[in-house]
Parts: sequence; structure tokens; C-alpha cells
Amino acid sequence: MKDIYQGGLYRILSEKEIYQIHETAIKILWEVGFEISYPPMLELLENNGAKIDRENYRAYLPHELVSKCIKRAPAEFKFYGQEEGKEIILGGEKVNFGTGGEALYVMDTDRQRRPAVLQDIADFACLTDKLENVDFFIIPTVAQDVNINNLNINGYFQALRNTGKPVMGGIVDVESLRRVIELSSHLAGGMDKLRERPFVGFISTVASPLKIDDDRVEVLMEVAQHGLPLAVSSAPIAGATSPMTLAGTLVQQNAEALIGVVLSQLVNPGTPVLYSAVPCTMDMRYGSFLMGSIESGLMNAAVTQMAHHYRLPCYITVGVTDSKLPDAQAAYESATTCMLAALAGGNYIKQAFGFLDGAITISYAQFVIDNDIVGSCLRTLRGIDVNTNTLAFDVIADVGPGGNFLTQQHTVEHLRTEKYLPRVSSRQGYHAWLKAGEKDSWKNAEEIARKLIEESPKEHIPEDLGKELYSLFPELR
Amino acid sequence: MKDILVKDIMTTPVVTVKNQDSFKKVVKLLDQNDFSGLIVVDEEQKVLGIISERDILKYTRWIVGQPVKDPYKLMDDEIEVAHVSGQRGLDVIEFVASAYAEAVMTAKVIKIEEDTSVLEVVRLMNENSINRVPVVDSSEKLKGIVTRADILNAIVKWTETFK
Repeated sequence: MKDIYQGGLYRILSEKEIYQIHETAIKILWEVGFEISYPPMLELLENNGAKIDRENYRAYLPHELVSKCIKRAPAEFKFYGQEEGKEIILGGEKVNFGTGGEALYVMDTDRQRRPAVLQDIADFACLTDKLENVDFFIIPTVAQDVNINNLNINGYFQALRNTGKPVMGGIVDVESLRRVIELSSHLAGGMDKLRERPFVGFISTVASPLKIDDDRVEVLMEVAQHGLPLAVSSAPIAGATSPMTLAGTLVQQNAEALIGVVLSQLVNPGTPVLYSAVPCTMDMRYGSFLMGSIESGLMNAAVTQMAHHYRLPCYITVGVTDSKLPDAQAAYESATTCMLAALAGGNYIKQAFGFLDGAITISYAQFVIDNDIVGSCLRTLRGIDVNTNTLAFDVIADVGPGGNFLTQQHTVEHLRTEKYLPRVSSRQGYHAWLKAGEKDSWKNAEEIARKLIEESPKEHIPEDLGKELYSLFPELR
Repeated sequence: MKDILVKDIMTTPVVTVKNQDSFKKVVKLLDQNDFSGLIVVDEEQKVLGIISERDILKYTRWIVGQPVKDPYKLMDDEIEVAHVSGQRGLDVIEFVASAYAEAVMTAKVIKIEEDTSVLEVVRLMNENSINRVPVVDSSEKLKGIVTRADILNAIVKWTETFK
């Protein structure tokens, strides 16, 4: 099993502020309500004490119902990978980083920006498998070369073939979802086994402000009925689809995250649901939707605290940059927001690898650079280990004044554990760097990405089973 | 009525698109001709799929991230996308416009031959909730199309024979 990293060191909200955000969100759910028109869910809500206005498709949730559903949801659950030992624990202040979706364009290792294709899903899954700081894989692109009706099953298939880590994705419609569940169940050796050891999860969405479309409810209900990991995310944009103030956006975000929790728990109590959030901002000068702003980082840290308050595992969104290239802006936006999320103790920190231009583009080079950024964040969480051995009295005494520690056994013993060794950073002297081709981090990252993809990938679906799947699911490519 | 055959009422020639034609071309053809669906064929005129308004809405909904009221507007007017996606609108338009017809179409197509009776077509349309059926020859090549409108016209003509 992977190392466990604990966050919870950074608390942007006081207890009083958490309470104020909670109380205001509860008031919104009861007095303002949310828009929903899917008849089976309206009936379920009504039978459980919600007030329903069928004429205006509005549901109003009483405080007691919200509290009951929060208590029903698991405080912690394991999200497995197909490969033994790749599971992650979601809950408490345990920190895990992964990819996100759904970029339309890919910046290739030759720096060309083009529409994403199915092979990109396979290649990013392969990078996920090989990079040590990526804990889970959310299918990161929309493959333009695949028919919409077969998009999900092909995306999941490529993901499951190329990484043994947990896999999640957005879902086109309920028919597509059913095919993915059938395929995953077949891989697991049956639905019971998949439920017992889930290695696939699914994302549904609430549209900000306060609305959930019929097809999204349908997906949510189907996932919950199967008891598989579920995120019901919303992406309020402060100043556009939520209030300009960060506190106001947090209130709305909290209400929307709780809608997902309530609906899933009404369908199937105990469904492993993530308290999900994608809080964004806007640059009013250009009307630009932003994902890399520091305010977005602050809100994600606050959202994490809200989830801790409810004892729910959280799904948050950081590491995306609004830069169009893997440049300095990309690095500082990714680093600052990832660090805030890690310190806050985000459980399922998504979108942290490779995303440029507000997540419309994903870059292979940035993916590798972000692996180093996340590595630094995790190293930060590990802190400084202080014990008799690390205090090193004996070795200081042995070396004595004026000596050096290079040849000491103590140095060798701690060489790899004490320091994070980045893949991309240039750490040679100036002349060595000149001689090696004067490469910057972008160039280094491109070369690393290319090499990792070209090296023979680990096949996570045995050949025989793969053949069987191709015959059972003719839509697979 | 049971003696009326598909070949008596089908529309021909059929306006089609190729599987590698762009989404932009598809929506323009639908919009200009006031069609609600188009047949997708390969180079040999074999039927590969159908694109209906429902398919268009499904595709744009998925790419844009929320329901789009008027997908036809996406191609000529940035207002719709600007409303839903801000500056990202242009990127979304580019992506959608350049998608191939085969990425959007429904590939499971019910086909008929020209000697099929119209009553059989009505049954197929009702059972499968479809509005149009391509007519193919024995080598699966497209010969014509029968829509609900063609059937209604046939019924009108048939009832007139009793006057």
C-alpha cells in the first residue's frame, strides 16, 4: 500500500466561520431549494420529508434530512486499483493526488496543441502508472476520434489497461454508464467483487447555481444503486454562477456538495460518496473563467475544512493553471494551489497533473512537472523526522570539527529518505548544465514523458481477458 | 394500404454526409434544409449511421458541459457558447466544429429494402421510436429514405382514393 500522508496543518476557516457557512447553506437548501425535475428522484425526496414544488421543479431540503444523509454517508472508504497495493484511503485528513477531466485539447511533446484522441487516454494512464506521486486516474480528456455512444467504455478500457491505480470518469449518459459497469464487473469477476473492492468510480454534476439536470440525476441514481464510488461535483464561478465574495461562493458550493450527498444517500444509504467541489473564479477584466487563481486555492482549502467538519471524504480541484504553456505561471499557480490543498488535508485532490488553460488543454510535459510539484507538497507533509538517529549526535561526534559527512554510513542510510528527488529540476552546476544542452524544465519534462510512454507499458488486463472483453463488448477499439 | 411498398413513397435522392465530414457541415446541412436528421454513408454509399437532432444535442451537451439551447447557433454565432463558457467558448466551438460525423452519429441503424411494405415501416418506427429509415439495396448501398412525413403523405393520398 502507498505511503499515507496526513494534512490538516492549514486551517483557513475558524470554527465560527465553518458554522456560519454551514448554517447559511442549510438555510439555502430549505428556503431557496434547488431545481430538479427527474420524477423518480422527486418522489424519493418527497417520501423522505423534502418539500416539492412540482410546478416549478423545486425541492426544498429540511435540516433534519440533510443531517440524516450526512450521517449515513461513509466517513472513510477505500478506493482500490486493479493492482494490489494501489488502493487509496479517502477520509480524515489523508492526502491523495490525481488527475482530472475533461480536457478537449492535448499539448504534445512536440509542443503542438491538437484535439485529444483515444491514444492520449492510454498514454496519460501509462504516465499515471509510472509516476510515483499520482495516486488515482480520472480520465483526463474527451477523445474526439471516438463515437459519443462508445466514449466512456473505450475511455475506461484504455485507462484500466494502462494503469493499476483507481480509475474515475465523467459519464455521457446512463446507457454508457451501464456498459462501463458491465465491463468493470467482468474484470472484477462479478458485481459483488467489484462492490467489495471497487476500482472504478464515477462523476455526476450539479449545475451552478443550484440545479441538477435529469440525465445527471439518472447517472447519480444508477451509481448509488450499485454502491460504487461517486462524486457529485459542481463548479461555481465566483461573480458569474455564484456570488462574487469567496464566502458567498463557499456557501453555495457547500449547499451544492450537500445536494450530492443527500441524493446519493436517499438512493442507497452507505454509498461511498465524495463531498465534491470545483470552486472557480473569474477575471472580470477579460470575462475569463479561472481555475489557477490563488482564491481558488483558498476556497479549496476551505471546502476541505467543511468536509472534515461533516466527517465526509472530500474531492477538491487544484493544480490547474490558466497559463497556455508549461511556463513560470503554470508552475507557480500549480504549486501554490496544490500546496494549500495538501496542507489543508484534501483527500481526493484532483486535476493536479498536466492541466493548462483552465483545464481545456492537458500537456504531457506539465504532467511530469506537476509530479515534481506534488512530490514537493507530499515532502512538506512528511515534515522533519526528529529522533535519536536523525538528531545524529554520534555521527557529528565521529566527524568532529572541520570534517565532512560525505563518506559517513549515516549519510548513505538517509540519502533517499530525507530528501525529495525531483525528476525534472536542473540541479547540476552551470557548466554541466551548458554541456547537457541548456535544457529548461519544459524540455526536460518532455523528454521524460516521451521516454516513460515509449518504455513498454505494464499491461493491467491479461491478454486472454482482453480478447474476451473485445468479443463481449464489440464497441471496444 | 398494405399493398403500398417503400419504393412507392421513399424520397430519393437522399442528402447525406460522409463519416469524415465535419460536425460543422452536418449542422449546416440540417439547418439549411430544415431536416431533423441525416444519413451518414461511407465512400461506397453504404449506410454507417444516422445523426438526429437528439445526437447533436447529446454531443454538444457533453462537450460544452451543460445543455445547449440551440446547437446550430454554435457554428455561426458565439453568443450561445460565450454565455455558457466565457472565453473558453472559442475553444469549445473549434473542438465541436472539427469533430467528425462518425463521432456524433448513432451507429445502430434499422434499414429496410424497397420492397418492404409501408405497414411494416410504420411498425418499425413505432416500436423503435424512430422518425426515419434508410432504404438500402442488397449490397447495403443507400437507395432512398422514408420519413414519418412520407408516410403521412402516403396515407393522405391513399384516403383520397376513397373520395
